[in-house]
Formats: sequence, structure tokens, C-alpha cells
Amino acid sequence: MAITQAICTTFKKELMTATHDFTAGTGNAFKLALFKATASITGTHGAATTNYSGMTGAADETSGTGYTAGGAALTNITPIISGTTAFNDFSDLTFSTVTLTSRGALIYNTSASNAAVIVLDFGADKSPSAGDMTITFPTAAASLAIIRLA
Amino acid sequence: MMGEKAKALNGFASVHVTEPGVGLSVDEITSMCVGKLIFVGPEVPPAIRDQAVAFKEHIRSVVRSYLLQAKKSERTTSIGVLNQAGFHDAAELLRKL
Repeated sequence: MAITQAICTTFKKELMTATHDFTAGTGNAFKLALFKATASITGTHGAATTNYSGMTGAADETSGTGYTAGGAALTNITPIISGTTAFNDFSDLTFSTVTLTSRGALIYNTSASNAAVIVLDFGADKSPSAGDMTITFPTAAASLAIIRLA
Repeated sequence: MMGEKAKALNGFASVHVTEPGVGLSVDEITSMCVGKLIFVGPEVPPAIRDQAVAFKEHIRSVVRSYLLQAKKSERTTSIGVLNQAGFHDAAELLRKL
């Protein structure tokens, strides 16, 4: 099975029901959980992913020294508009002193019953060994930001 | 008939892994910070782009200097804690890093 980078389809609908709020400080709490290594993933994760439980149900979340199940909290950056595109951003996230292998990640909303937001594919297995693993979100610009509505 | 197209699009995050047993360097953290603060688009007029790039590099040097100071101060505190707890060898090891 595999990871395919995609905005979760249910997330698009949930935006229309005011389920997700990315406002910095006062908005919802989002977390980023890491998937296992490519060869170990048994489920299919991508646009059809609806919830963090999809990751755990397939036992596809990574584990290792320094990593806590559920992942780490993201810091929201309030969405903005540029031209006719609205987009959001998160502060870069570092898993410090970890030993694990991960192929991708799931961002989900813990304030909304762990509703899935986006599946990220790192492109290859990443394997920190008692080191730091930093996920750098793309530039907050209309053509690059992590989640954009154009 | 006229219509409006709207799309939800995703960007691509990059992942950086440090060497075993090593954390992020000051320069790496500085680059991450400056990248969040300032973005110079590819289609900016040359004169404006030059100014923006120069300002970005100025910010880089400022952020780097303060991160270095934070690193030194954190180490001072850690060495103090280790000494107070009686771990003088560990404190000395940390001081020599």
C-alpha cells in the first residue's frame, strides 16, 4: 500500500461546514503524525483519508525513540489572501533527538475529532538516528503554500 | 454560461534530517527562520528584488547572531545546573563542546 500526497477530500467539505479554523492562537489545534517507512505501510493514505484513525487503524504510524504516538502539535499561522488565492501556513516542526523511519505525514485537527487535513509524502524514507528531523513547510505564497484555495 | 473555477491545492514540505547524534546547526535554524520571514518572488522587478535580497541577508546576520547568543546562554545555564547537581565532569564536557 502507499501514501499519496493530497488534500483530504473530506477536508474540502468540512471547510464548508466551518469545521476547521487555522487562526493563530485562537483557532483549532492541529497535529502532524508520521507514517512508517514505505515498505511497512499497509494502508492506502491520500485524498480518501478522513481521520487520524485511518492511520492508526492500519497500524501505519511510525514509532521510535523520541516519538510520541499522535505526533507533534503544529503552530498555526493565520491564513491570508494574495490576489485571488487564500492560503495558510504552519511553523516548521522539528522532532528532536529521534530515531525512526518515516515516509510521510498526516496533518489532522484534534479540535475536530481528529479530522484529516492533508497527507504529505516526503518522497523517500527519512531516517533520523538520535538526531533532529525538521519538516519545513513551503513558503507562504499564493503559488507555494501548503494549503491553498485558488 | 459563465462559471468560476476554484481549486484546493497543496504545497510540498521538505524534510531535513541531521547527522546521527547531532542537532540542527545555528546556520540551519537561521535559514529556516529567515525563510519564514522573507520571501522574494521570482517575478519581482530587479531593483526591488535586489533590495529585498539585501534586506534578507541583513536579517539573516541579525537572526544568526541572536541565535548564537541564545545557544551560549542556554549552555551557560546547563553548565550551571550540572555543576550545582554535582556533575562537574559532565559540566566540563559541555563547556568544551
